[in-house]
Order: sequence, then C-alpha cells, then structure tokens
Amino acid sequence: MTAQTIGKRWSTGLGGVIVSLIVPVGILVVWWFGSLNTGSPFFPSLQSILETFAETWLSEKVVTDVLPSLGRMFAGFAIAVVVGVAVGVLFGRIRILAYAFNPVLQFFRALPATALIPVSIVLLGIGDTPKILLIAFVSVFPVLLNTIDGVRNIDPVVEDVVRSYRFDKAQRVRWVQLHAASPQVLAGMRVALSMAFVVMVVTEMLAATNGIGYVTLTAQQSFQISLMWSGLLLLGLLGIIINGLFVLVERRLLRWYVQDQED
Amino acid sequence: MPSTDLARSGPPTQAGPPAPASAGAGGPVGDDTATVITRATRRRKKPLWVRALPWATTIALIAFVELLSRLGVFPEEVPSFTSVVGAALEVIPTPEFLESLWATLEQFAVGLAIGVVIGVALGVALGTIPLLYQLLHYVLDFMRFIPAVVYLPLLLLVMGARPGVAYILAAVGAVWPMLFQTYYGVVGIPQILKDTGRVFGLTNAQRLRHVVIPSVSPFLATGLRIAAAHALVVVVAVEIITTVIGLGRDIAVYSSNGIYPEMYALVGVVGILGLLINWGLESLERWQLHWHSSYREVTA
Repeated sequence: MTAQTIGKRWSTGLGGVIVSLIVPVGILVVWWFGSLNTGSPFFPSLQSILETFAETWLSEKVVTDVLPSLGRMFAGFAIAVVVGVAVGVLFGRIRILAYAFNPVLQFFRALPATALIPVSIVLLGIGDTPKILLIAFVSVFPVLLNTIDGVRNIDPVVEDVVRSYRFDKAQRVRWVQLHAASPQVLAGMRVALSMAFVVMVVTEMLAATNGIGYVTLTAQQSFQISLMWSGLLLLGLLGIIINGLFVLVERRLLRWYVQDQED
Repeated sequence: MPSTDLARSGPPTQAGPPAPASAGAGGPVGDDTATVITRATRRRKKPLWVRALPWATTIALIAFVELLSRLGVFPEEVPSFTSVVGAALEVIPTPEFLESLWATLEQFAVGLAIGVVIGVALGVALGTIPLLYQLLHYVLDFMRFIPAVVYLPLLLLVMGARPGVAYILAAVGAVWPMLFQTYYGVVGIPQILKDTGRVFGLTNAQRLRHVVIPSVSPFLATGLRIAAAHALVVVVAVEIITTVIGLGRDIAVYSSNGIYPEMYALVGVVGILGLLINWGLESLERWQLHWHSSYREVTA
C-alpha cells in the first residue's frame, strides 16, 4: 500500500538519513560550484537560476501566473473527483450500466489525454474554461473506473450485515460503499492528479496567455534561459509538493486501511 | 455473480438489493476494471442480448451524437460521426498519414524501450543493493514526481525540435513506473522463497530463472502497462507542442487550419492506438502469466 514503507534500508536512524543525504547534497554542491563560472548559454549557474527564481516566482507572478495555473488544475481535478465518484458509485451498484458503457469508458481511458488539447482549443477557445473542462474530462476516468471497481468489490458479508441493520440507501452509500471503496478511489485520484498536472502544463504551453507552462516555454523561445530554468524548477517543485501533500492526505484518510493491512 | 444477476436485474433504475460483489474474482486492483469485467463475462455463456449490450449501447450513443449533429444542435466545429469516419477513410490510406503513424509508433517504441531497459536495470540494482537504495532514494523520490513534459523546454533548447526529443521524453515518462515496479517486485520476493531456493542448492542462474523472475514478472507487467500509457501521452504531447513529425502534429495542424473532421479522425486513430497497445500488453500478460492464480495486487 504505502510504497515508501517497503524500502529496505542499508541502515536506519540518524546514520541512515546522513547516508541518504550524501547524494542529494553532493548534486547540489557540484551543480552550484561547477556552474559558478560557466560560459555556457544553455546552462546558467545555479546561483543565477535561484536569483531569477526569487525575482520572478516570488513576486507578482505568483498572482498572475502561479495561482491561475494551480486554480485551473484544482478546479478541473475537483470536478473530476465529484463526477467520477458519483457516477462511479452509480455504475458500481448498477452493474448493467457499467457493463453497457464499458467500451466507451475504455476508449476514453486509453486515449492519450494530450491528443484532446487541440480539440478543446477548437471547441472552447483558449480561456480558463476549456482548460478546466479538459483537465476535468481527462482526470475523471481514473477516478470513475477505480470507484466502479472499488464499489463492486465490497465484501458480501459486509453487505449482508448492513442490510440486516436496515441502513437506508444514503447511509449505505456514505458509510459502507464509499468507505470500502476509498482505498481504490484515492489510488484513482492520485493518478488523476498527476494527469491533471500534465494537462495543465501542456495546455499552458500550447494555448495560454498566462500560467507557469506558458512563461517557461516562452522563456525558452525568447532565450531567457535563467527564467526557463527557474520555471522548470518551479514546475518540478510543484509536482513534488502536490504529490507529497496528496500522500499525506491519503495516509490520514486511510489510516484504518493501513492498520488493517498491518494486523 | 454477474451472469444471472445481470439478466435478472432488468431496467437499470430498479437496483434492488445489490448483487454480492464478485469476491471470488480477486482480480487486480486499480484501473483494471476492463479485465475483470471481460474475464467474468467470458467464463459463462450469457444470453445474446446481454453479450450484445455493450455494442448496442456504443452504437446507440454514436447514433445519438450523429442525430444531434444532423439536427444542428452542435456548433459547426463538431462534425457528424459519419463525416469523421469519411475523413478517416480518406486520410488513412495517404502516405502522409502512414508516415506520421509510423513516426508516432517509432517514437513511442524507442522511448518505451529505453525507459524499460533503464528502469528495470535500476530497479533490480536498487532492490538488490540496499546501500544503493539508501544513497539514491531521496533523489529518485524527488524526480519521479516531475512530469516528463516539464523537461520539454530544456530539451527543445538543447536539441531543437527533433524526434530525439520525443525519444528522450517518452523514456523519461516510462522509466519511473518501470523502475519502481521492478524495485517493489525485487524487494517483495518472499523470504521463504529465497530460503527454499537456497536449501535446494539452486545456482545463481537457477535462482534467477525459478525464483526471481516468476516473483517479479507480475510487477513488471503492471509497470510496463503504466509505462506504455505514459510514453504515448508524452509522445503525443511533444508532437503537438513542437513540430516533431507524428499524429499529434497532424492533429494540431488540422485543428489550427479548421479542418475538423480530419482532426477528430486522427484523435480517434490515436485513441484506438492507445486501446490496441493496452489490449496487446494485457494479452501478453495473460499469456505470460497464465500460471499466476490471479494477478497480484499492485498499487501503482
């Protein structure tokens, strides 16, 4: 379940952490000093990248580019989660629906998300709405399919118990089906989140007038190399932070599940 | 189980008491709904109308869309399904299309191959040498969450818009799932299996053949499926953003020139490509892992 806990460590505790830090710190040190007096136009010094980073991304660009990017991504993701879970519960309970729509769902899941970007530009233009809708559309499928699967595979004994306790339908959905399906729903949400991030970046590179992806690609095209590097750094950091936060939320929500697994 | 309940449950609105979940299936976790459904259905003979249902629904949906566009409900940017099919039939035999299709497949295959080789090699190394894992795991955990497209501006800067960019980015997209699945597979080999192998005095080669590979291969199969999906997404993204030859570029060109039926036709082709790749890998998996009672539960 939690991938990180499987790791076999050469040594644990403080000594282990120090050993683990050798390579990351080494990379940063080599990068910093190795690039200090670089003449290469493509690989500016880490110092100037960080300076540009502080100048650009920690100033007014937070409001003009970073927040719009993140806002679009989370808006699309939120729509996808709500729709995906709702339709997923419906399809998971009413099997014949899931069965009937299976070919359509499979097609749209297999379709590479990025191929839809030109379509969304044609249909909806280049504002915020098409990006949000496209992100929602693309990330709904992992949530939907995992919810169907999770709701479908509930332990029959649990179902019987719930029925004999006379839970009504809403209670069954809230306390039994969503609960039992939540590990899979969250796994689907994690896939959806990373797809939302990719689509956010690519839509901004293609058709946008603001956003981190837009700034980074235009920086490359106009040879503002430090700016480009700082954009890459920001995108990388955001990818990691967003994923890290999601893992924290997931662990918190699934404490019961992880404990069950360990018992 | 599905067969009888599906037939009996009648109109979808009347849900009734839910059918007991297919507990016996114990199928794979995650995005593998399809395999579960098809495998469960294939096992028993079903009435014809139930077997025809997915196709009937799909055809009905297509007919519905066709009807709406004929009635002029959609804006003119949405062509009717028949005109998309017509465009597809016209475009597909042209040499330009075949060249683009081949370019996309080549970029996908080369990138995937590079990513898989590097991923498996690194995964095995990290899984067998704990010190190496300890040294690298912060860096790897850091880098795995950076989406491959993020590197695109840098590669464009250094290499220009060439197919090489697609190779490298597809490889980056493929390497992470492969690496971590391999690693989990290698680390997850049950101690009792290893001990048994040692007690029987297996040589290293025999251990590899009879203990390591069978334990790791379900993980590899999952990793390969995720890696292939990533690689295709990345290849199409590179083609759309840059001018690297391929179906993605053609979609973007049709889109910006307002040739919509052709654009949708190519999107359909790319989607079918994704389906075929997925289906091919699943068949390979079933064929290779037929000995495996059920696919192991792997969280990607």
